[in-house]
Amino acid sequence: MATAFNGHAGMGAGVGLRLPHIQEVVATLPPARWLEIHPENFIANPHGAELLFEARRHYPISVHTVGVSIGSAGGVDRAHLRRVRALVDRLDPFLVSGHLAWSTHQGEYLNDLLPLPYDENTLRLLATHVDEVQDGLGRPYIVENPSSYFGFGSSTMSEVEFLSELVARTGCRLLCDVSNVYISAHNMDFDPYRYIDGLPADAIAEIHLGGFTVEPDEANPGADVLVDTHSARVAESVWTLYEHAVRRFGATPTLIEWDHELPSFATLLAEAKRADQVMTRALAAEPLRAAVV
Amino acid sequence: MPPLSEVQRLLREAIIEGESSAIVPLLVGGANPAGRLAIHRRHYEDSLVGAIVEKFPGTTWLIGSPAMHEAASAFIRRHPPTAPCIAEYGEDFPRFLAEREEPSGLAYLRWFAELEWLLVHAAIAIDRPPLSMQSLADHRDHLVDVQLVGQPGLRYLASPLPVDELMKLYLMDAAPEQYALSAADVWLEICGSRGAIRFNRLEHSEFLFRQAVATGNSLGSAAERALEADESFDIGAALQRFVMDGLMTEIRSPQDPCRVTA
Repeated sequence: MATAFNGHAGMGAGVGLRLPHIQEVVATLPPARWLEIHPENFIANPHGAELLFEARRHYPISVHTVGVSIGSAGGVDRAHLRRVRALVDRLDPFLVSGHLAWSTHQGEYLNDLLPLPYDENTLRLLATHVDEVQDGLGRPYIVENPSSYFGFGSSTMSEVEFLSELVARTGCRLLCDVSNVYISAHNMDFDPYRYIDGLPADAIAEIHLGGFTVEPDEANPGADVLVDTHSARVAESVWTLYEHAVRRFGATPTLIEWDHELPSFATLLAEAKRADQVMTRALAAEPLRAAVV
Repeated sequence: MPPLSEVQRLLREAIIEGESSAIVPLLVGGANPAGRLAIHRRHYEDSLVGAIVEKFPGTTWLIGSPAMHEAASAFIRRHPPTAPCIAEYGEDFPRFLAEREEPSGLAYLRWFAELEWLLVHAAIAIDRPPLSMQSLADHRDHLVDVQLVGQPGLRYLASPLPVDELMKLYLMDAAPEQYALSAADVWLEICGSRGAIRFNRLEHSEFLFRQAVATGNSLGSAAERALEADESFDIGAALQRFVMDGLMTEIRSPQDPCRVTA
């Protein structure tokens, strides 16, 4: 079994804290083990930030950036990075993470996590940007695997190879979004278990679990495409893959992500409780060793 | 394969402008990956149109949901966000809306939407402890050079139409069968904190004075602007009202610009 790189292996499952829930959370202090926030929701919202700092008095917080855009050919948005740093310095989160993706092009922000070709040029660029982000934040940055609907014919390496090499070159850590693995595997026709087995287990600092929606696939008439909407419960097939991931990675902080069609906070806590139960069961089973892929 | 910057430019064109012929040959995934570009196009459209509509519920009430969605959809293609904090996105929407709708006689829309934008941002501000009259008295010898700092949620709007009346109707959920909006300049002060908002009209000279102070002008400069509009403007009384309203938070002394008195 992998040894967790940080001291947070026993954090268990937390939930994403979104603005519609924040007043309830501060007022009632529900039994969440930890909370994760998107800094972009608070940087320009002083009232929301005030409530967040109050929540921080009671909960460990993880910061998950959505706008840092380490994959932008034009470079990281340094002004945004400074604003994230200011919030992070006040919050002192136990983790700071972002995505293997790009969102910004020549000063325009596309409000999405867009795919990259996996080749040596992109890898060099990403390694430079991850170093810049880690320097800019003054702490480790954890990179999340994306959910994919298409890729690039010019890619010369798999996503697992790309992420592993990024870890080797920068010392960054990885956030394994198990739902994203499942979604991408379905959409891009690969084996999600082999993907999990191929990741460098010692580098996994966090796991995400979120709901997806099933839609007709315009690319394959008669087939379905899975869309990473974060608007539903975690699917049964993802829970099974999560159990496999925990056996492979060991105890790892796990987040329940739900961003759209938000349910009650109690529903999020119930999902987190299930994640804790699955994690406990997985940890009691025999650990899985690294696979050769 | 073109360089990454070109790939990203092409993907941007496909998502924002719907022009995907150049990017499609580069993609793999499914039998026809071009079809899956629609997922990203739809996300861009839905998330940003949703953000605009959410920030302008009163404007939506005024023009109806279909017109609002149409305007927001056009806006996000013409003016994509320039920063990742979507709370800051949409400041240009009132002007954009006015340019679209003015020919149909809806000139008030811009000013109504401007007021709504200011109210939304005032509501997420946080009040600071107000300045006391005593603090101001300590600077009486050089008062004309003093600068004051306003509450974070303090905003000003000069509108050629009384859109504040229309806003009150919206906030009270009291839409009359017909409503005639006559041209009349109004000078509005908007203040908010922690979800609460208020707005009220000011006399023109008082508006000029308060707006000038709140935007960092010295008291002397602000007084000059007010006196240009009304030579009988009582600066002392106006300053006292401003401070007593709790809208000022700090004094910046010209004799020691680094020193701030709260």
